[in-house]
Amino acid sequence: MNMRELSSFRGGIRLDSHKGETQNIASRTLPIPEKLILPLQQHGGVAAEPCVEIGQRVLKNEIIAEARNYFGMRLHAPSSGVISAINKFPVIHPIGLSTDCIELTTDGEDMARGLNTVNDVTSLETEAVYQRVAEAGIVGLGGAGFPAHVKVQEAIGQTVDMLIINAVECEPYITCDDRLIQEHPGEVLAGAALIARVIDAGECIVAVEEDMPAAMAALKGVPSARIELVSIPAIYPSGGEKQLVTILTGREVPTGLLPIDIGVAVLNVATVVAIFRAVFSGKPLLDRLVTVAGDFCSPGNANTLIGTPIKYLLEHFGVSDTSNHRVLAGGPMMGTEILNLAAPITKTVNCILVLHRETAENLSNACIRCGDCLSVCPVGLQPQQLFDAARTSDVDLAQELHLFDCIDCGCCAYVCPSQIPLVHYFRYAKSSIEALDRDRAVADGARARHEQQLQRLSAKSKIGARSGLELADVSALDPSELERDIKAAVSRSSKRRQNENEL
Amino acid sequence: MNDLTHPVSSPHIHDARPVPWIMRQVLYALIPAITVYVYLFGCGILVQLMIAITTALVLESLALLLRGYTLKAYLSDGSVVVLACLLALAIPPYAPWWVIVVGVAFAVLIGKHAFGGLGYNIFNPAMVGYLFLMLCYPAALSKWPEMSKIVDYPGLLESVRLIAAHSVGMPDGVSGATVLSHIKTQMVLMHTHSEIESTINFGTFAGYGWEWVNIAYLCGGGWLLWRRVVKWRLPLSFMVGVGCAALLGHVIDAELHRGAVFHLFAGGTMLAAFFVVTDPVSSSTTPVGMLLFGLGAGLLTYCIREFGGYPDGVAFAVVIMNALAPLIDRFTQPRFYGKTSNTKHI
Ligand code: SF4
Ligand code: SF4
Repeated sequence: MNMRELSSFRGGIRLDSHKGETQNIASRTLPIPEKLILPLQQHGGVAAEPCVEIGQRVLKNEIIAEARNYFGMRLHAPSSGVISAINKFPVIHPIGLSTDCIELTTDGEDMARGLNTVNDVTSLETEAVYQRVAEAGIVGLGGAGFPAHVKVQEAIGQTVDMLIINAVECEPYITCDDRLIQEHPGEVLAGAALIARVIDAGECIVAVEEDMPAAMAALKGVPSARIELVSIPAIYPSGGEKQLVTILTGREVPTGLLPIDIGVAVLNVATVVAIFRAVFSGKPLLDRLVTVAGDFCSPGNANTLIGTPIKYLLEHFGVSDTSNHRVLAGGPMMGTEILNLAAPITKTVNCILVLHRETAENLSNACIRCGDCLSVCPVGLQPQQLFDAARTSDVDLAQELHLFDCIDCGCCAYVCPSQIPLVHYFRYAKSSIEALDRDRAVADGARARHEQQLQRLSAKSKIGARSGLELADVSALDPSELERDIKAAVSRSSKRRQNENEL
Repeated sequence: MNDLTHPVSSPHIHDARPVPWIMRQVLYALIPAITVYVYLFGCGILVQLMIAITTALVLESLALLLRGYTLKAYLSDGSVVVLACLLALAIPPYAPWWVIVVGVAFAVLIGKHAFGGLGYNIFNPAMVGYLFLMLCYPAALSKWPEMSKIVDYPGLLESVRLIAAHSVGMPDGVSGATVLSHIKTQMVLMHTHSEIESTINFGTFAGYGWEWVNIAYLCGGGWLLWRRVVKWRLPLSFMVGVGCAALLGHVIDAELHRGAVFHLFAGGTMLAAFFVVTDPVSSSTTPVGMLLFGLGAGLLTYCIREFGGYPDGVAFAVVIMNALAPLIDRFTQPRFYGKTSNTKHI
């Protein structure tokens, strides 16, 4: 079926897909919940700035918070109602923190502000398309949540040889992209064509996982001239951005760089549809498809308003008692446990997974150095050695072993016979190294300023023959070192950004 | 809640092949060899196994308690039982009881726990225990029952009596040397292989009995490979190491050096190939490293057998390679994704 020679990436695992449980059930639309909780920060960037007041009436589509900068993201009211609070609310967070949110009490009338539609997207200028994407508040819907307009802009600025529309849902259970394609194949392909035109991509590929036959058939049913459809083997994590690039091009993305640096743009399929709707009908990102699946009897997909409390969503799928279950946001391999079900659905949540709470096996968690983790790691890292480095807080060794190339995919911890929470150690190590870097950069900055000040003072006091020399010393020493340290810190954090962007 | 011991971190599903399961498979894989032992030597091995396992469990519990660990999680991983069994299989079946007790004690307390317990023991504990015995009580380790002379196999009670008797060696006419140690002594006396062969029962190809023991280990090992408990790299490269070295020696001088088949099925070769060098904790973990480790251990085993002062070289070879494993790992890191600097557009 594939015309294209596919390459493979190293490692990876075949997982039990569980997709059949929801794949062929039409998605439903929930009634509007009474309250919507809209976190001001729904992605990696800066939190948005509220532009409404408590008590203010808002219409659907109205902007309620503005982006603070280029990497920020604006927020729209998903339905009509009254702003009832701007406060901290529990959100999906690994340790259950609360963050600033806008609470919208809906009136059920769903009155909408008119949208600015265009009749012919094919004639829109590149700049106009970019503008409409930025205004719609779209982030990567595949889970990473990178601002879509930034990604589009990056692609516009570069020569793009290949645009990949990523519909490879490699995590078990999740079928929201699958349903989206089955239900709106036309929009997927029109969106792909639109973006391919705007970024002037050499070729455009829609990549679908091999266990999504109905989605593939739906795409084939729509005539599209320039877009190639490719079916990808179901080996986790084939939907990881870099892994997918390798499968389709046979090339690896060099460490520290993004696919765009080798001329490949990758966008998630749901993001593409959101972009198409934004450009075509001016529709901001108000809702998304969410898979609700796991160990209960009536799983499926739901078109869910952003801000819908997870508890509300679950109740509509007949799940009310979760005392013996763990509820996860995202898939079983990379998802986050939701500690408070009052937390809302955000733009990046593709799945709510309800799993039986397993009785944890009583294991010693000692690494027996079996090497299983090494053979499945898609990045070719040595998790067992990284584990040693992380456990002993050996920062240098961890970085030498390429800790920051780890994509948190979880393959290593999945196969580990000692069930060591490897990913947990790696995340912990990454965040502590970053904190260290930040502190160091700040401290170095402060020290440099302090020293400069001392030098200035001493120069002033010794105004005379040697002052020129001393001043020259300062400028010769400090800035270069400082710059190097800052550069190192910046490159690490950009690497992290790109890792987060990956799956 | 989110500390390192009770993480809520992803992934939330796991493959069900935990360590206790793996250790159980290893024990199952030893059954053929134990059966052959009983057939060849009588019930002595069963008594040794029982003493070894009991000692190991008691000492392991003691060590864990002293180090402040919970017994259940650590004892249940079964690694110490495997250790005990391997050591019991490595010593003569009618060695006095204290030999195995001392060996196991040294293996568990020094070989394993002094280095930090399971996962941190850089040397294979069973081999450490064996070496200790070999250095301290060489006489006790050399008294193997001479199979061709055993007429009445000692039963269970008789075995208990023999082992408890506290005397080194066997009743008259039963004690003897293994083929390897017999060759060693004879070679020192400048005899050639064809002369030596007339003085001991050489069996079909690797010494009467021993070939069967090795075949039994091979069967168990094959099963482990099939169950994916051990990967092919370590055992195969070890056998290639022993085999190639032996072939080379044999080609150079057939009268002084026996061939590859003999060395592969003599002494502890197969035991080492599937149950010792495959110990994940103390061997290499990188794919290339595993091959080097196996080859190195194989070559050393052969060299010590042929040129060293000890009849069998497995234990020394493995321990030497254990010491080199971290170095090997370091220099054989797999290529990681994105190591390219090629930023040319596609
Ligand atoms: S899979 Fe687990 S036990 Fe095996 S080497 Fe990796 S971390 Fe160690
Ligand atoms: S989580 Fe990191 S170390 Fe583990 S398999 Fe994935 S990329 Fe490799």
